[in-house]
Amino acid sequence: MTANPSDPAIPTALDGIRVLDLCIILAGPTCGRTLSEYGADVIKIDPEHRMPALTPWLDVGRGKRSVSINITTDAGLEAFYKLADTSDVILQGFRKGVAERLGIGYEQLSARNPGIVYASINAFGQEGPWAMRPGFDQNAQAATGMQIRNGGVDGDDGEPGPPPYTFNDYGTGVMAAYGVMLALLERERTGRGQKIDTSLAHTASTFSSAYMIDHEGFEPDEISGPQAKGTGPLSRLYRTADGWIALSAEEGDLARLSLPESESDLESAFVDRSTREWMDALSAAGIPATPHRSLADARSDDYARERGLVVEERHPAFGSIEHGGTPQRLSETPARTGTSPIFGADTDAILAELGYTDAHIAAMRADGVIPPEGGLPLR
Amino acid sequence: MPGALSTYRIVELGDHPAVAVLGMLLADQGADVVKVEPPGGDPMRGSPVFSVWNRAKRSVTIDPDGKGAHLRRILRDADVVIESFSSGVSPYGVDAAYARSVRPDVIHLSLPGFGETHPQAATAGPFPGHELLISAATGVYADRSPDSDEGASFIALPYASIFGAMVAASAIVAALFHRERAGAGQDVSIPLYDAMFAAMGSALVRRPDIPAAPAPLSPAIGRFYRCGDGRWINLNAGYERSLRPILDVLGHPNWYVPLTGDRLRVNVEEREEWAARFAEPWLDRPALEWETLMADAGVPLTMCRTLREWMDTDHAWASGAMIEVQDAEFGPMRQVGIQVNMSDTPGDAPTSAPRLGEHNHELLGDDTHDR
Repeated sequence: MTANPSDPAIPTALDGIRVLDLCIILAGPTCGRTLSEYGADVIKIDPEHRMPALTPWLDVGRGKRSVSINITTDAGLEAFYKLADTSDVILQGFRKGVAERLGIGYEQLSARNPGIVYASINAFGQEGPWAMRPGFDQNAQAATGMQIRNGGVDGDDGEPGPPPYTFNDYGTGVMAAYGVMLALLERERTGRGQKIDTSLAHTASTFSSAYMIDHEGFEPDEISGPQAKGTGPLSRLYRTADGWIALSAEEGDLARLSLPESESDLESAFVDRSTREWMDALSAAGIPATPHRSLADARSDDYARERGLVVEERHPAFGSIEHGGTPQRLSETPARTGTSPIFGADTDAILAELGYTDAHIAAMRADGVIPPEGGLPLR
Repeated sequence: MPGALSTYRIVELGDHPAVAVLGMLLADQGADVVKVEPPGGDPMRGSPVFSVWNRAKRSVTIDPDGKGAHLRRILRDADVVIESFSSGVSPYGVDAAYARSVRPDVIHLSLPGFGETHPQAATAGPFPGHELLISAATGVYADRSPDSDEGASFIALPYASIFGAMVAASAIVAALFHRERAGAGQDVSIPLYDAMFAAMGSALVRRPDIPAAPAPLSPAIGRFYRCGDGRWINLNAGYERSLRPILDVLGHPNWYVPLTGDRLRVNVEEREEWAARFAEPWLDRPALEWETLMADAGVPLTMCRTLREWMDTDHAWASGAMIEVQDAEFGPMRQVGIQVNMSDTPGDAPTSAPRLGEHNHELLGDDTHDR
């Protein structure tokens, strides 16, 4: 099983599928990147006046080609239409109504290309009183309880906080890719595309689904606040002499080490010895536990490198870089990790593929529709 | 219109939350998800969460002892087998090879907690993939309040299990698409621990040759402010161009010039002074009022709500993030909505979670002794 095939002879699931990705920040571009991992030809389209930041680009830009066209110009829009006519999927993250104003709404594009699959990914979705509200992941987290939970829900007036990773952005992108592939699957049968939409608020709701419940007689019981350590004495974090340990034991397990099962007694016991000593003792007794680790710990162990979860790369433009990899392992159509393009560097080649002559491309460049040949550096 | 997965049967084996959520994501798009349970039932049965994560599935009970005819009968019609067990081992023994021996073009997907070469799995034998262990091992419980002595903090949302389920849902549809075009099934494995690295995402990006720049601090990006009623707002206006409308609504348009030009991002003393000054005006109004005023001005500002408050918003219902499901055990239930809306294949509204073994007869026939 190869995690990162470079051999074009190895098939991928989405061979021959072309995706135009107009999204920004993390959620939408994650959709494009996920489709690229499954083998789609993903072309990221950004205008020169809205350059993405380099760090997220090195993460969610992976496996894409980069075209920079200003689609608010006539020549840029015409090039976009030509490209859309050769494509299977459009990804956009504009606020409701903006794509239509730009001339690239679903109705406009599917009239030209009825097979087009059109995904909209934004903060609050396409329906409802907040559909017109702008927003980013943090706004969706704020709206859905994700942040206030970290500050403490019950009478605790601690400052809210985001979760440690941007689960919600990445989850939204992955779920949008799920929707796109569902539509491609359906298109195999019907020949027709469709419109899909998902939002950061929907993803936050899915992450909250274990608590987002009500029925007659239901009593909400949400654990919250920075003082929360777990769900009970056998399933929680304990401070040790030099760090923290996560215990996930069954009833009766702790008797094998002659340990008490009350929370306060366990707190006193764990703090007396080091994490290492506890791990040795718990492992020997077959009691599930793990040291509490940081991102820095997790990224630097051998497992993360061997599994391709953290990848080191020497990039022609960005130099020595490290970024995440691809956790999905598929036996017949391995997922590709890919590398990030130079901003705008594929513009000329893709315009040429569409039949643009050198003179035409030069004219577009002179009019500021496309950036300098070879693309632009990101900061 | 039926859902896009309405022609596929998924066989779900396991008691891990991740596999239940994965089954829900697939059932929400019309898949016929058959949940195989031991005769005593899934350990989560009886909890309202079970009803959410298992809605619109069918339930059959099959004794894990031996790979009997019933299991083979269920697997024979399976397009996809998904499995994940909290204990780390499958009592049914349906690995990819076995599933393929029954159905050659099957897609077999496993969601173990840790990969087989993970030191955790290697030293302790079958190692449970409990949410707590995966999250603790991947930095999810990192100290969120370094100024206090709290240390590591537990977070109640099962991020690792649900994120893993999302990645798995994408892999299944990719594999189904490949099968439609190439005719072949395949084996997919996504350890929940591994999937966490996709959620770390840009936090993993490093350029060792370039010294890290000081973290930018904008008063308008990813900031929390306490308002007049003690409630908090999150202001996340990612662009400098948002600053002018914010300052206009706050009544301090003259702050625009000192705040632009990146001054807040470099000079530490000035930055703190400005951060303190910027915290003041919010105290003039309650949080909800700021949310409305800023929304009208096109500013991404949101009041920090509790989950219960989100569930009561008109928007949660109108956008479909929240729905009502008639559950056989709990009656009318408010549950999470369908995550992805499809214009042409919306599928049917989710129905109740099944009662234990409710579909034994229709799926296994009369002979319930043949195990």
